[in-house]
Amino acid sequence: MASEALVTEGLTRRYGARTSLDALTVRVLEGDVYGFLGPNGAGKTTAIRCILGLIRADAGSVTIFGERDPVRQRAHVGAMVETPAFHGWMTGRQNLERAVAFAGQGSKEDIDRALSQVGLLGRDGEKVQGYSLGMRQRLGIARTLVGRPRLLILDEPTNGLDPRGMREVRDLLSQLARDARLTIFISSHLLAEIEQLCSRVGILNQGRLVSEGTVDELIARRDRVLEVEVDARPAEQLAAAVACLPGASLRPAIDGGLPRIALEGLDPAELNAHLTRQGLRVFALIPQRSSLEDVFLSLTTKELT
Amino acid sequence: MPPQFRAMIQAELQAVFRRGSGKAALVASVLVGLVIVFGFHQVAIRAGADSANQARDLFDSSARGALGGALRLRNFFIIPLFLVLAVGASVSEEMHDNTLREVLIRPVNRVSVLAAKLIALCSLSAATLALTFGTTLLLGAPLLGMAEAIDAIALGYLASFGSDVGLICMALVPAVLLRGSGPVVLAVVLFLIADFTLRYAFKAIGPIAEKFGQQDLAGLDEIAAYFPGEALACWEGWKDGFEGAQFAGLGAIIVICIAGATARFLRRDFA
Repeated sequence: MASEALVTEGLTRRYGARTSLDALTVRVLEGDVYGFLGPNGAGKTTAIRCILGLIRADAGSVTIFGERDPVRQRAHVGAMVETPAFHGWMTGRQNLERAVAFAGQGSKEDIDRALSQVGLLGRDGEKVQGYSLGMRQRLGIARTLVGRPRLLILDEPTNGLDPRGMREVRDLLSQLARDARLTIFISSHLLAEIEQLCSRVGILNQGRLVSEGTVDELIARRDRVLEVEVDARPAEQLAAAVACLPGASLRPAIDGGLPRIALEGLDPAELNAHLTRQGLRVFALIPQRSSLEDVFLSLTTKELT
Repeated sequence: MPPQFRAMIQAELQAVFRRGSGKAALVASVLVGLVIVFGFHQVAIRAGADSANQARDLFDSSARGALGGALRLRNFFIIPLFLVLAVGASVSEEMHDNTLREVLIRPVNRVSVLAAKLIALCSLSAATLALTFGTTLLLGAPLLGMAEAIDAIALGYLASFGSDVGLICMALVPAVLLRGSGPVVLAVVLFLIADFTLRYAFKAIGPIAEKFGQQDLAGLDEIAAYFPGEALACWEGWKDGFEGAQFAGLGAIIVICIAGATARFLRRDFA
């Protein structure tokens, strides 16, 4: 059984009356690529800052590979928080050498390898102030790798990258997880990216973890949505029929398409029987394939309303 | 301190010496030596030609005198200003542009980060002093002559290092509180102006009060001795003798400022 790479228990952070992080408990296993999802302001970056010791948590604890001491924890971690910052008057390589000095581990070979992995070998002698946003982002990822980490904590790592760059970073992270056996904790609001990359996902909303599991588990947990091809004139007849069936709710049609009904613990056959009893002719019940986006929106919208 | 503390210091040394403020401080240190030596040399030549040794009597125009003049000019405000700028760039500017955050996510404690910065900044001060001393001595000795021993002025340079350390520690306090080098320099300059004004006001009150028979105010001039600026001027004792009280004051400044800056730095949130 894989050991725990990162555990937060009851991590809480308040800014005055506002609770930015509300008893966050997350378990990331070794080898996981854990996607940390949430809308803007959900508390993702606050959580990452607490984990890295950049801000103090009001309550709760962080354990990384069994270590409780923050300094020892960070010996296992390579992290990138939001937009990576560099000394613009230093070259890319000098910035990485500085990172190695403070990491206390890593070598020239590690720097070369990291630069090569992000495609910056050859440009590393240039001053960072001349780098594009994408190059800085790549250099930031390279910097996370130079201290020989076991856990990567990345906050929106594809920010500022063009589609090709985003794919390259995604491929790099997949390769690092697969070949280097790195555990990756990645926060993003790019759902497609998380869906393709992550083995497990946690969804954060208003500072609370509202769901956690594999992408398939999250989708399976979601209410089943059916598109209903039905002869219902006027349309209110269908609404009235659905309203009196516990476990069913009418959802707005997408782009003028068929009416949609969400089922919560209700079998489609029961819905069919109910609609027929109400005098509606049902031609088809078409199950809708949920995506991570559907799950994300349903979880985060529910919380907001 | 973490095992990589030496590497941290080296990294900070590179940063401090490669920054604009560091380079400017080093260049200015050499220039101070050059200006003083050639200035003294010109005055000595003219004094010798015009009015025998009259002008020479007014000031010590030997290499020893030049070393004293260079120290005075260096400490007037040029190099201290660059040192305060360097503190602002190393701490406050790095907090502002988030490069300090990149350091703090490494396996280091905050005290060691601040200590590495402090050591690098003190090294910059030592380098500027060495450059001024070396330039002045190397050029001054052949041009102006070595009439007297320079051990007292050498001690003055050493005391000036202590004074720089005190100033660096003082600048560290606004550096952990404010964002950007400019506000740090402004805060230190305003503080020193206030210190200077009050110090000399108290120094003036005593004799004036005594003159007008106000004996209860006569002792006020002694308060001036407890101002930070008095301790920072400890290097001036190279001529008439060093005062232990000034060094004690300097020690107090260093301890208080490091404690205050560290306490704030440890509690600070980094975005």
